[in-house]
Amino acid sequence: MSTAIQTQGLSYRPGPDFAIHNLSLNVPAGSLYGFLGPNGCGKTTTIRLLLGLLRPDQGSVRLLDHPVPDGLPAALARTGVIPDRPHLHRYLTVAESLAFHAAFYPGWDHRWAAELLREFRLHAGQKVSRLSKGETAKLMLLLVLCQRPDLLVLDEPMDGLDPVVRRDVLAALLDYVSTRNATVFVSSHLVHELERFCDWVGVMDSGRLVVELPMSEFRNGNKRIRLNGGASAEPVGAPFTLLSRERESSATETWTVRGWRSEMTGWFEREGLMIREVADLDLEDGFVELLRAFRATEAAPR
Amino acid sequence: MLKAMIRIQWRACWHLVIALAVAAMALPIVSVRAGWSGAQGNLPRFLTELQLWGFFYPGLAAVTALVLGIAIWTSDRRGHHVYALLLPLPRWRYVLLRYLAGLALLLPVVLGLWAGAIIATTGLALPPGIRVFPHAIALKFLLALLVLFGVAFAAASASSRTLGIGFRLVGLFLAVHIAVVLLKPGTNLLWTVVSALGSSPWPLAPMAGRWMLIDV
Repeated sequence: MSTAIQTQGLSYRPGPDFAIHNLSLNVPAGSLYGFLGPNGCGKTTTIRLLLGLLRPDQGSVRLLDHPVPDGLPAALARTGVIPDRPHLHRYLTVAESLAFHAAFYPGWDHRWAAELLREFRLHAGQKVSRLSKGETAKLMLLLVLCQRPDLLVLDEPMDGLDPVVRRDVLAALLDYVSTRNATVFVSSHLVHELERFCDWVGVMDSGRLVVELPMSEFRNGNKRIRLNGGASAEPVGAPFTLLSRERESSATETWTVRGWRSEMTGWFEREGLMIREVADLDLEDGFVELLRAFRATEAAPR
Repeated sequence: MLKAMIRIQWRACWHLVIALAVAAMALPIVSVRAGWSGAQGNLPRFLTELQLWGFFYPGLAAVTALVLGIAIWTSDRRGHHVYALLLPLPRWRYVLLRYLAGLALLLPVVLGLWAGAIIATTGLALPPGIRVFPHAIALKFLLALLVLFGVAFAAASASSRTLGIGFRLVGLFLAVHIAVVLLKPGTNLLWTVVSALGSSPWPLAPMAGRWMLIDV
């Protein structure tokens, strides 16, 4: 499996209170990779490291098989980026912004730019400084899509957008990805936003990568299991990861587990536990439980 | 790419360029008219008046360089240079494009001054031995502008950290200068450095010397 983005042992410490620790990401080529994490966990810093905007203290980054920063211009020629705080030259009109951007990309699709302009209901003569937040987001997406990139790096692209604009942006994005087989690396703190279209997920917390796996595995592997009998047993040697456990009564407990598969029921029987109910966790609950377990592990004395 | 860069810089600074070009065009015309009326037909006094007006040429060059050097980078600075850094070209090439496009913006100002100098000196009834230098003063203005624009452009493009280092170095130099003045009266380190930089072949040489549109 080839990778669009690969980092190895990436570390960066901008100050005493925050650091990116030993981050190793592998974003498969052609995937829709959701980069999840709570606010302030280091998603934007990681994206800046990936794009060569910051220099790591340790580790390496490869973007579309180009080393960063040496091969950055070649990588950026095939990468469309929407940064966390999009900045365009405010004194230009929409048409002038398009013309300026197009000058740097030989593969710029002028016809599609005109089509998207109509589709997004943007006026060519309107000044960028007069655009609303939604219109700016649409213009940013138009700019990156018409570059015809192989990789899209989007840092919280839907943040603060109304549902209508969100749908327009998402539709255009998915349309492009389906026709071009491009890789999308999109960060968000809104789990449900990524749940609908991502096929890979990476979860980050406190500057560390908590987990990276296919979305199907993440979605289906998180279960809430109600158990009866001998529930005080420690899950030693369990084939799954126990994220949390709650005692309901002396004989009943609810376990939240990750990495669950149906054939694992045998393990409970061997331990003298009886499964009363197995329920799916939605992605958001799975995400919350995962972070809770991760933070408990981090806080535990070593 | 250069064409696109010139176009956006023109969009950002056109009002400044036009104002500076008008000022540059007016300077020689106003200086000759004001000098002539002030001198009331007295030729040596007229030349002295012109010499005083001559200080405005390097002043205008400094203002033009500073204003355009800063204006060119304003939008990029506002966005923390992120847009520029994500363009698919090496950083040095982006800076070069900005610089070359900036030079293109200086052209109207220089042309304005040249046209003004020609207009101011055309048809003047001057006594024998007195010559006009419209082309020389425009050339000197161009050279001074190139040097000062280079300095202003570099300073405006620098990061806050680099600027901080620069300011600290200047502060350190001034502190040394004051210490030297106090310890060894009569020694002027600042003047020595400024005059050295202003003499040929150092970079500020075009700024120094006489800026005379009309002279013997």
